Amino acid sequence: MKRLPLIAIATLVLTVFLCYVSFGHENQEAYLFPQIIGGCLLGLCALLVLREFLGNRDPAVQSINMASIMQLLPMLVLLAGYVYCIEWLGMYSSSALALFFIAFVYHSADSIVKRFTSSLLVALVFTGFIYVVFSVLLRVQAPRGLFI
Amino acid sequence: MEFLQYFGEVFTLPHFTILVLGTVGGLILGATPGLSPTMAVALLIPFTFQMEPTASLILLGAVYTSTVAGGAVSGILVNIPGAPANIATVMDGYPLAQQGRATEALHYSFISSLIGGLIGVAVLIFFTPPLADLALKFGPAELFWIAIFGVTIIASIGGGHVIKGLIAGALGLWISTIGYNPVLGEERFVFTEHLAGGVHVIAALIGLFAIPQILTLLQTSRDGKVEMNAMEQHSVLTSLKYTITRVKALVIGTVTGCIVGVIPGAGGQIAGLVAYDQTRKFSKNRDNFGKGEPDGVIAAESANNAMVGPSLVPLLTLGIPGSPTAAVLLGGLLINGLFPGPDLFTIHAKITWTFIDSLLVGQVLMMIFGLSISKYSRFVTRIPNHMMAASVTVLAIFGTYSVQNSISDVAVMLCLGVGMFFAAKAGFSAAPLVLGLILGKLTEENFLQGRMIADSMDGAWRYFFSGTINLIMVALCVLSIGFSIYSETRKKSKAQEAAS
Repeated sequence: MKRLPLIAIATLVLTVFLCYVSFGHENQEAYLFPQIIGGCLLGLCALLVLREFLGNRDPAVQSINMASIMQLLPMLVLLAGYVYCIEWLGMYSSSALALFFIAFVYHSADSIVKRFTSSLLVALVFTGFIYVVFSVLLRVQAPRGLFI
Repeated sequence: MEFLQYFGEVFTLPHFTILVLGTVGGLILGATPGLSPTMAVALLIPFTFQMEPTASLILLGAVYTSTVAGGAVSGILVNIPGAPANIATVMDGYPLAQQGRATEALHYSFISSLIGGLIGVAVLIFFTPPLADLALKFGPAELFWIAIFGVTIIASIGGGHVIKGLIAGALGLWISTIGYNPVLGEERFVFTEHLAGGVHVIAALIGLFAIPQILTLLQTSRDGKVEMNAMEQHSVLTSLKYTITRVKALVIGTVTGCIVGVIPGAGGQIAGLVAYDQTRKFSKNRDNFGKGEPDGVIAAESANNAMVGPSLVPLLTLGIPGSPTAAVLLGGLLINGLFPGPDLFTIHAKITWTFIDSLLVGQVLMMIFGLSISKYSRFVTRIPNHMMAASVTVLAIFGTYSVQNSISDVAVMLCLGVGMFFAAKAGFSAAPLVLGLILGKLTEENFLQGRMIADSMDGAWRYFFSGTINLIMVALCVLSIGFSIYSETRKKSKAQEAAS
């Protein structure tokens, strides 16, 4: 059975959405450029759909399986948590926590003690380095929360 | 030969010390994702308040020069360009590193940066008056065509699939319209408060390059190390000999950098990408580009450093900055009571020429320190994946946040990054998307301004299609598109021949 050209269809859906929000505004002049781009995108997507329907598949396409998504899920959760915590805990505290958890979760060692100590070390050393570069040398005002 | 008269001033102890510190600091800042040359110079301006004018300009000039070159380090080693000017460098620099040739790639990068940089400063010294006249000839129509010429490159940097490359580029152009209309001021497509200021190029750059790389590293984290072959030892002399034999890549890179540098508002990212694209088109090894072709690194790096000197031509003579960093540098000049124009070369000749001379010496220092850093680059490849991913994540978030002190930028960066990770699996490439984003503002602004001027004159057709520069640019655009179609067709017919 012939596979559906899912990538082309997904791109087309996105493009239709972009065209939908680009047209139908009161001040047409302000939206002229995005409208032109939207039109070009629609034409290109039509070509992509046609190409994929004709069976001209892109060899660069890689399959995404459930196992690889599950492998990345902790990182995606950690990233969301990190951004949420920046204003609540403070930039440096949340960075230290993020460093620790990312390093701990994705560590290749099986021993918990080894994973814990090396992750803690990475978190402390790298947070210190970041603090010196951004706060001491460059004087960037990092957001403060409960801590720094 | 007035510039020789003040050459000794650069070597006085305080000036030389500042030059060395600025160069080393600039290389480190440049190698940090998110800290672009513009930002590095802007962050340093408050430090120059207490300095005498010559020393402060030497510091800013050294940082400008070395951050442009330093941005290649993170690009080559971890596939994250330090600044938009280094996007083109990554395309072949990172594949070289994956082949265990990171030291070699860094050598090419710093040596070609020196060659481009020296020629760029020589252009600033010897051709300032005629180039200042040329810079004045670029109005909205000419700048619009420059941007369109940049857009034509999108097709060839899309990673092999022309339609997907063009879709990604068009998407980048569309994303650049989020926020305020640059001419009419109307707010567009602000679906959430995080998008109120539009999508910042640096945030997009970090997100589109760093986040997919981090996620890829984590997918292989159980393997322990970054997936690279064993690093080969490579002598500087061999790299130097090789680089100076790549005349075509060096000439295209340097000439492109000098021309783009003079044009007000363009910048290193356009110089690097145009030079990379043209070198690929004129190369016998064009099929190797994107897979670790040294000419790609040489062209891109010579272009973005050659741009530095000429970008100061319109700044010093007319007060018009040739690049975003030159615009920040203008602030540094004004703070020191130095106003662009003839006075800089008469009343303040000592300060101005010492500053220009320091740019020459700074280029040499940049290469020396850059090559020294290259020796230690192998340690980066030995860092386990989980540590690399964790530290790059934090660095990416800090780099993005520090651009505008905005959490919204961080959120946008992460969304774009995660989206790009899945888009890359579907065969889309980040480079055309970023190029579209960079060129979007330039294209729209000049298109709308040009239309307004054209409405009050002889009409749009006549305004955009008359004048020598416009016609040359239109011809270049047609040639660029034609060549992309020709090489795609040729590649296909070759593949069909091989298959049959």
